[in-house]
Amino acid sequence: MKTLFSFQEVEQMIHDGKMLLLGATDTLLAKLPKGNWIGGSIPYFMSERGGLYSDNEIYVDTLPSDAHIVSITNYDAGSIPNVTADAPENGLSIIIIPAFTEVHTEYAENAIMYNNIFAKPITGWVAGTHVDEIGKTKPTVFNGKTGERLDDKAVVMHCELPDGIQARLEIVNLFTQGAGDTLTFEKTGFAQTECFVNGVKSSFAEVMKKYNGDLRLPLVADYYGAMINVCFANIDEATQSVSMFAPVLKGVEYKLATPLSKPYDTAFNELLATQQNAAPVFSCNCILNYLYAELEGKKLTITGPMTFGEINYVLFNQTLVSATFERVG
Amino acid sequence: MNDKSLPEFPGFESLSHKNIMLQPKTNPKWKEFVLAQKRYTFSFLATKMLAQRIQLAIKTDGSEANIQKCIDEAYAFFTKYEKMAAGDLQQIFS
Repeated sequence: MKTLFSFQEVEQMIHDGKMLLLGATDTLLAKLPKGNWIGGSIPYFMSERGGLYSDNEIYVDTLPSDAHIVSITNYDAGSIPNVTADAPENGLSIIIIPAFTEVHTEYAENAIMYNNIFAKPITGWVAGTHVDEIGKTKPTVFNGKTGERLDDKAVVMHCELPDGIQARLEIVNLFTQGAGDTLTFEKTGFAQTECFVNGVKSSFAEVMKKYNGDLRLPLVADYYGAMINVCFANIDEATQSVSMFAPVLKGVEYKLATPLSKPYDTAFNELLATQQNAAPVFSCNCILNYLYAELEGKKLTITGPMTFGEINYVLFNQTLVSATFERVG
Repeated sequence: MNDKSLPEFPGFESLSHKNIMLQPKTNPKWKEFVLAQKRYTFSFLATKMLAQRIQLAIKTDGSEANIQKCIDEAYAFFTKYEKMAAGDLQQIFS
């Protein structure tokens, strides 16, 4: 199925009143007309043509015509905890957050404790930039309804679903917990200097060096069978602070991941072949999978933007997230 | 174009109607669930995440009032997702 479209094709879809979730460069999204769409900046995609970088096409997910947009709302770090209160009782909310912002940090650290977060399905992603532009160019999100381009707020499309249909959110994560030490943390956060190794207070940077310092292997928590990754960004030698692409949470036990025994694309497609998956309404995967597994030119059976963070209820790292609709009545 | 209109969209799967009855909140299995007194491996992502959230909430505040609040939350969740989370509900009450 075609997922990448030209600017003119997307312009026409907007004029036709389609409900669209868009991923493309900031430059392309900024030129689009107002309409029923939200979007975020990203130039990396897993498409039907395989993994690729594109700055002249737009990734498009079109929502089912029976889904009804209740609102498209912007949220800052102060208002984002209200996101579930604004969501319809039965529906799906799609969120796009610009990376490296206060609202990104707030959502990543606290969404798990938001009221009703697991009763009001919310899916989406964290917008980014070309990897060479990190720290130089701000990621952006777009509210198509108002035409706003935002680099400090999240945008959320709240959709209502008809009775008898519910949204199901699932993840595909190839990493599992290794058999090694259990790591815990005194505070929630994206950066840590200390951790507890099997209960003993230690320097986190020293612990990572002891583990041979392969920062491509994430920490993994086990949430009742859901493997939740926290990926490493870097170790600051001066401060001995370890930075991550998602926060570790106080009270959660982590272990270093077991290395994958097969190439990511092979393992991913084999796993998907064993599952009876409905075609997702929305899905996205992680830029780190794109980079570390060298997915450019390789095909995965589920497409989507390759993002700076994946959201299904909470923020994920190095994980495919998907939303499907199911008849329940 | 990947327009997934609801009636035609092949992804809308009808779930088999399993005969799972939601137990009253007074059933001790609810308390066993929120206190994580049994090892569960759930299949529905939302259940897994909810269970983790409840575990964190109980670690912070293990009072009877908070336990009851967590039971209320779990009950409301499974009421809403009784069909999608049928397998998980079965695990809690098995």
